[in-house]
Amino acid sequence: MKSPFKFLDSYTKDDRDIFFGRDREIEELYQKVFESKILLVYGVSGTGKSSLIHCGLANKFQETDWLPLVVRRGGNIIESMVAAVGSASLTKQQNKFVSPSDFKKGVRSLYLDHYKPVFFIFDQFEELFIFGDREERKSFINIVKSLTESELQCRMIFVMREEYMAGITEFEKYIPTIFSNRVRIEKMSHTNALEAIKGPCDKFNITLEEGFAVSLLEKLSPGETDVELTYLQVFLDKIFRLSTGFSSPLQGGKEGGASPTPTLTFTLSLLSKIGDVSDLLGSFLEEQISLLDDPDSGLVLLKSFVSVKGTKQPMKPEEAREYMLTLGKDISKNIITELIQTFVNLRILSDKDQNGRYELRHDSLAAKIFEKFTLAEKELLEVRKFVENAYYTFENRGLLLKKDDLDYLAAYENRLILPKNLQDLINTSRQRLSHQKRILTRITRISLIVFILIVASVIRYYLANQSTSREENLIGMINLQSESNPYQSLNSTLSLLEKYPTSTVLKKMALDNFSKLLKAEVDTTDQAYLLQKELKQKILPSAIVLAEISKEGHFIFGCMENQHIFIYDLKADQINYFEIDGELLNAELSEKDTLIALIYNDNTGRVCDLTGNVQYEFTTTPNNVMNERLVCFFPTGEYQLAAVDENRVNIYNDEGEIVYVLKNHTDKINSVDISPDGNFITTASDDKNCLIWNFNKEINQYSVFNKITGHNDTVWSCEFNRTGKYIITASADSTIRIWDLYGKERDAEFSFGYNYQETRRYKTKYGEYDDDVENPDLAPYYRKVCNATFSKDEMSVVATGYSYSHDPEGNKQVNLNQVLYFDRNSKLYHNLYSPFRDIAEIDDGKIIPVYYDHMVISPDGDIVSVSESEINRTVLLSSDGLQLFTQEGNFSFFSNNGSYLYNINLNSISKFPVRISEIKNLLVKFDITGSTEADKGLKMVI
Amino acid sequence: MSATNELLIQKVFQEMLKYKPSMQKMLILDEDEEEEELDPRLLGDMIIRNFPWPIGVELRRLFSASMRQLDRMRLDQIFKTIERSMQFISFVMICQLWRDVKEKKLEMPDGFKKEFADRITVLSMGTFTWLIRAVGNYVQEKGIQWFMPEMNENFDKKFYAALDFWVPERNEIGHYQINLTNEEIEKRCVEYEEKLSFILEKLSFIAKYKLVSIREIKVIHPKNQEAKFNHYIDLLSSSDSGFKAQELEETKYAESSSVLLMKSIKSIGEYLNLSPLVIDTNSEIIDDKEKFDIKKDIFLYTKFRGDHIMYVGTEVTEKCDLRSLTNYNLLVEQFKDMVATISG
Repeated sequence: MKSPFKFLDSYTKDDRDIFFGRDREIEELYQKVFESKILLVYGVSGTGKSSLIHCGLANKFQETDWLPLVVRRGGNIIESMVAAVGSASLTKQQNKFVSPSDFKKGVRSLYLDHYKPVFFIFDQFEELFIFGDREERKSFINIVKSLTESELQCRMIFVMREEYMAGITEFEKYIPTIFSNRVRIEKMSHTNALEAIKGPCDKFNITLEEGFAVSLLEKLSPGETDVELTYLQVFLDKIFRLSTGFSSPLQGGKEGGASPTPTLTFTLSLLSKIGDVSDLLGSFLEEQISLLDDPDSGLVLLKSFVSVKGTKQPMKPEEAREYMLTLGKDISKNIITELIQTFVNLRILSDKDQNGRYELRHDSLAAKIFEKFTLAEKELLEVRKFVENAYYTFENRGLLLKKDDLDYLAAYENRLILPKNLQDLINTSRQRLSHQKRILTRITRISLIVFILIVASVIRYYLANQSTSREENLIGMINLQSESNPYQSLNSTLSLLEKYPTSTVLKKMALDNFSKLLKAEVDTTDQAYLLQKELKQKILPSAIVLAEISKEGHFIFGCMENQHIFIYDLKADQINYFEIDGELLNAELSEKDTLIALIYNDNTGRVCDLTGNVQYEFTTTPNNVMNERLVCFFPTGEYQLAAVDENRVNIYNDEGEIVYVLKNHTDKINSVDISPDGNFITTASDDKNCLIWNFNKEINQYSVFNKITGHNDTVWSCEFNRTGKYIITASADSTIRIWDLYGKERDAEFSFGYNYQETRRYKTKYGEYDDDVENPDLAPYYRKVCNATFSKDEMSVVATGYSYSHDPEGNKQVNLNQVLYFDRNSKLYHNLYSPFRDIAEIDDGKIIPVYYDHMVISPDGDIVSVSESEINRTVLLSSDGLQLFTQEGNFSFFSNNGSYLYNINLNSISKFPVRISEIKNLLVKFDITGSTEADKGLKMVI
Repeated sequence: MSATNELLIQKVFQEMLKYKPSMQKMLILDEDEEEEELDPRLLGDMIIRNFPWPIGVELRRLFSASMRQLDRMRLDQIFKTIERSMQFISFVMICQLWRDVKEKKLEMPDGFKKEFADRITVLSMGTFTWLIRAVGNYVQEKGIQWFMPEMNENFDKKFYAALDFWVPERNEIGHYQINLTNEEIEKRCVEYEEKLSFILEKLSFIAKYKLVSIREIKVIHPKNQEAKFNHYIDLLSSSDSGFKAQELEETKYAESSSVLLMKSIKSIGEYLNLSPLVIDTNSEIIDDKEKFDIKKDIFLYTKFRGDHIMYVGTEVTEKCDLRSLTNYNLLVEQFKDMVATISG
């Protein structure tokens, strides 16, 4: 005969017919479960929470409206959730359930399998707070949040003991409404308990003697109005078994029988036979354990199913064995299996779940067993729990135990027996700590050595300074010599430079002395006379107003005030002149074709040979800012010239015929350049874009190869680098950028001007912004940029900025200035110790570029020549900022090999050696030597 | 998904798509989820979500894993789905009729009036069939525009004939509880699914419309400014009863505590109030012991007897006494007015 009473088990959906006395709670649960996606069901132990959900609530739903997934924490709540979803799925779950989004996908798939609203029932949810760690809870909260915020047909019911409700506050931070929908399950009132007694008895044809139910409740909870359901069920089960003559489960009896006997009666005398029930479970446990062959082992085994908080904890047999070891009991696996089976038969343990875990049938049993723990055992279990949590953290985040943790564990070392994985964690943590200690010792030693080295360096530096002081004395002496005998002084300097080849001070002195040598009054028979003749400046018939050097560096050409073009062949040391008509804006020279293209301000241009014979004319469209790149000669190939014309570029052959027209820009073009191999052309336009063109053989036409977009304003210039793989552009948006042929920006942009973002726009007195009005206060910083060119070594960029001002008559005029930027990889520009710091000022800790009218860099990149038209001065600066040489001038150019500087001053062009090696060559060539006595003296002093 | 339901889902989805092309886009659910390929199972969910809740919830049950066996349970669920669909459409028609007669746009013939008064107090599947056909034909004859104009086109002879199929079948199987062999049940499951599919295809235009419940209307009337009416509504289209709430700010106001069929939820301009035939008890505040028996659900009118209006729940399966509802008397009044207006 089957008992209608549940002993320590919860009611399930199948127990609908014997579940009585809970209608109000069931109705409340059914209402509340729809009010929010989360329902919290809580109450003290033994109030029947699980039964209410699994039987009461479950039976309120139609089969089609309820897909319950019961989740117990097990080893980890997230893994258990995954397992629950997986086992309920009909379609194989594809995702790995790593992120909350994976869970959403998984639950959606589950819903689509069943088309039933999914109800996650987290039973014994307090286990998460007892066994779980922060990491596990955090991940779980994220999943709950994600699922409940989604539109998935998914609800969650958390069933837990109210002592652990405080733990939910951790959820509240992320799910503020978690507490808002909750039901507290209270102990059953005597009125309802009467129903819970009578209902199942009626179903099983059990007659109750008048007053039996009331007396039973009075015996179970004397003087109370409510009753502990667990005890009620245990008590009723006991009475049932006594009355049927079945051996009580308390004596190892099993369930049996086919149907209830119609004559069964629960009488008051039966009730009185039972005696004291104040500690029903306690005495039950005592009795069962004492009946075992090895009561001690049985008790320790049961203890392993109890958590450090005195609640039940699910265990696999092997886990239970490990726990028993921790508690100092080593029992074979077989005996444990046997004992577990005995306890299952005794209904103390429930049968194993889907994860192979057994657990105590009720928390009230766990509480009773917990009372039997000694203090030492509790302590050991706490320590073990601590290591288990640490192990979980280690598995998830790779964190080992810290020194304090290991110190804490050390006290239990001899008593604590742990599973291998936990012991390994402790050992690994110890090894790591000891390794770290060794590293620390090593670091300390190294630090000591470094300290000693620093002290040694300081001493060495001090001694070196002493040496520098001696050198400075020598330089003073050379200076004195230079006044009286520049030959001697130069030679002494050169000798000293051999010893100190990087000294820029000595270099400056050498250049100064060489300059004095050139200016010295010498006899025509003197060797120095020949030198002076060789380097004599060229005098032109009129002042030079425009000058350029050809790309290959063999011609300096330009225009003079007298409307004549000059072309200075540096190799042949010869200058050609020819006259022009009209106002010349710019000129471009092709060494390959020995032609010069001249651009006039009337939208026309002419291509002439180097003597001025016009080959053909072309049209072009100058502007008021930058006309330096309106034409470009082809370096190779069959075509000759590319010339900007409105929003087109015309390609001319050597007959002066337009053979191709490049048309794709939507606004005026400002610049054209051709790659060194002649395969690509680039154009910059007012439409804010640059285009890269190449010759498309299939259509026998130039077509757009790529488009450069990214500037926010007019693009004034574009130029290929010497390999033809990169293009540098300059724009009115105040930036200079470098791109590859695919239009991809190669480097972060240079911004032209200090802090231009804040100051580039000037507010007029009317409070309006006007880009065209220059604020005098911001003048140095207010620059748009119209041209940018690489230095020959491509380590630097010279940029030309422009701004507008108004002359006294109110006419608007353009002011151009140049500034030098360094390749950011060399970190020069942003470095306070910039070798070119003289052309940047430091203001409030920031480097501000200093602008010059004209600026060129030597091919090696170590010298820069800057010119200021207003004061007619050209200064040669070394890379450490030292002014090597100053002379009058408006433009300057370096020779191709960087040995000479060509300086243009009004109507003269001078040539001056700027390399020490070239000075030496000249001295040798012209056999100029000074006295060596002084030199010897200097060497002796050094 | 098993082959059961599959054809129905495909057909109805394709038909719905004609009326609501945006459903194609809605198949992509979340921005953060880059679905590699479309899950065909989503189509069923889309259908459920796009039918009004009373029809959608029955469809969900029909699609559920518990109903995929070709057994008696499935057969009963097909009947329930078709009955709810007919009931809902009948209610929409009655509510429009009530409005149009009240506004004197329409006068029903005497024969109809009498039969309506007789039949409306106890509803049955036969009544729904009669109502849909009689009202449909008469309105069409008078050239009156339906609130859902697609009804003009879709409610044709073929449709009415399809409706006629169900009553005798239900009477045979449902009422007389005849014993069918398993083979017979399986055969009928397949046949009924096809018939149900046809009806649902004809009703798929409802996807264009929204069934909403007006939970509350708040008046916002600042000084010297025009009054605004904040409508707190629940969208009664979902796969479960966790209806999505929404707030609508309008210068006009809709009818409070009502279930409305709306042309668009962007504005409350055009709607049909389905009260008292469809009601929502979710917003009822349980502040009295007497109200403990009230269930929160969407209810459909089923019977009027002894001055007592009775409903059947869409989610709640057990009988439910709604007499303690705050607006119960109003519902009774409305019902009486409806009958009086239509039946003259």
